[in-house]
Amino acid sequence: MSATTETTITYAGPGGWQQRVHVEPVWGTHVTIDLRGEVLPDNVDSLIADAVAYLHQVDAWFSTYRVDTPITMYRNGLIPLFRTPTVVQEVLEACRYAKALTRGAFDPWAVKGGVDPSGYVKGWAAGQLADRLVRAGVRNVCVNASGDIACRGQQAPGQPWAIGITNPYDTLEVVEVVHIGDGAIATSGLYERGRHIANPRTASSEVFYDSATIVGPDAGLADALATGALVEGPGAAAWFAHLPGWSVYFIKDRQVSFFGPAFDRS
Amino acid sequence: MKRAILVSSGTLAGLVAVLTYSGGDTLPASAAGAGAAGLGGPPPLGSTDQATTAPSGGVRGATGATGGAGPASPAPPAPAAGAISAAPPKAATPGATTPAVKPPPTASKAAAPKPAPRPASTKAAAPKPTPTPTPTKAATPAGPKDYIGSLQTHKYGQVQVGIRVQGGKIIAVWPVVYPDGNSQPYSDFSIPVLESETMAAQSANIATVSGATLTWQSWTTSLQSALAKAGL
Repeated sequence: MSATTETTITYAGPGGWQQRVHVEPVWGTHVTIDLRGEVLPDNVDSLIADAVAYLHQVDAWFSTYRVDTPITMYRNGLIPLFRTPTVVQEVLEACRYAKALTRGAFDPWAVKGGVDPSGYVKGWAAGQLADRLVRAGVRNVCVNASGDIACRGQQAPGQPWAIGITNPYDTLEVVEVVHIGDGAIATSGLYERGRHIANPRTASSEVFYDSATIVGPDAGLADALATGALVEGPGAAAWFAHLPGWSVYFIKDRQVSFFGPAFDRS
Repeated sequence: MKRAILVSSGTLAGLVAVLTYSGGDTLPASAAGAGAAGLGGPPPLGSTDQATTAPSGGVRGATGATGGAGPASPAPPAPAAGAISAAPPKAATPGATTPAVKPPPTASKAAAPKPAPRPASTKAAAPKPTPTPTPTKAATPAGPKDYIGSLQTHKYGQVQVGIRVQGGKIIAVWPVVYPDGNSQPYSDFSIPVLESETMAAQSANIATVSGATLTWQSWTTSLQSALAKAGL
């Protein structure tokens, strides 16, 4: 995007692997695409270009800050839902599921102006992009959409991706490391720049936790659940009765609570 | 007719959104909140660029002109906290020797500033073997070598990382360029922590972080390129 930004770097990665990192300013934040492998595909440049185009395509579908996007036109009553692209309908359907699962703690419809799926889309798009890159022949992919992360493969030979959870009281310190092969992690917190959480139940910006991290197979749902858990509090644990394999890591008043396989220390 | 009215009202809403956004831009924190409240940042790309380059351009100007973010710059607000007050002298040392606008891609040895001792960094203070200020040119195979990472531009300014390597290990990390101006307090707060985290992350081997910030990402990217140059 910006001509002054050196956004793509290739270098010798860990364990003799090749690595390519690209940072793209988009969606009012930055998305980091990290590709690794023994040998990266020859067309890695065009893969990055395609990935960047996809990120901007997501913006063109879902930005609530642009008047020309299907989501805005739908919000403004200019088009009915069935006239929006299929992908928009699918995302809204997934949002409905997340709303039901969280019993309304995650509610894209509790905003002024109709519906705002942004709390789902950032993670969802990270997951979609990771899958696209895997289909294109990259084995090891990590897409970080400012805290909503989708991983595929490994970060180095024999090592799953190691993702740090930041300390909400000292945002650049890492308090916990999660190892993820194919999966996703999302953290919500008021500390995170570029996030604005509203409690759909009270229509205020009250939240319970200082930081809520969700680890699971689906990046979009992880994003939504992290947002929902932040406002819900301990009751969020009940949601995971229906989600085997998911893990949570909550921080409040410097106290940590967690459960799930990702944090199984035994 | 009715359609036309609807369209214009939609446009109006969009304009309001833009105005709201740029209004909040004076406060970096609130601008960030507004910027990503929705998925898309500020809508038309042109306006994004204007909104972001305006402050950072000012930043660049100030940094480039004075060659240092610290004392010479007229803007830096009075240090508000302990963590912040420790930073300006640090900034002055590397900044003064390196033109901020032009990253030195080749002259890493010559231009590499000596990392000033950084007592502010809480964690790194103890373990860091404060590098002796050896003249860089006298670097023997065994001696420390300095590498400068790529210049990273993000929404609130720029970040560039320098590392000093000895025996295949990073012995010091410091900011060659980091954002000032609007995001000065934020940067002053974050950079020292990043240094210590970078030192710690060497062993932790973390690929990325959840709950990341712009500065962190720029820092990491620049650091990665410095590591690449160092062959680590």
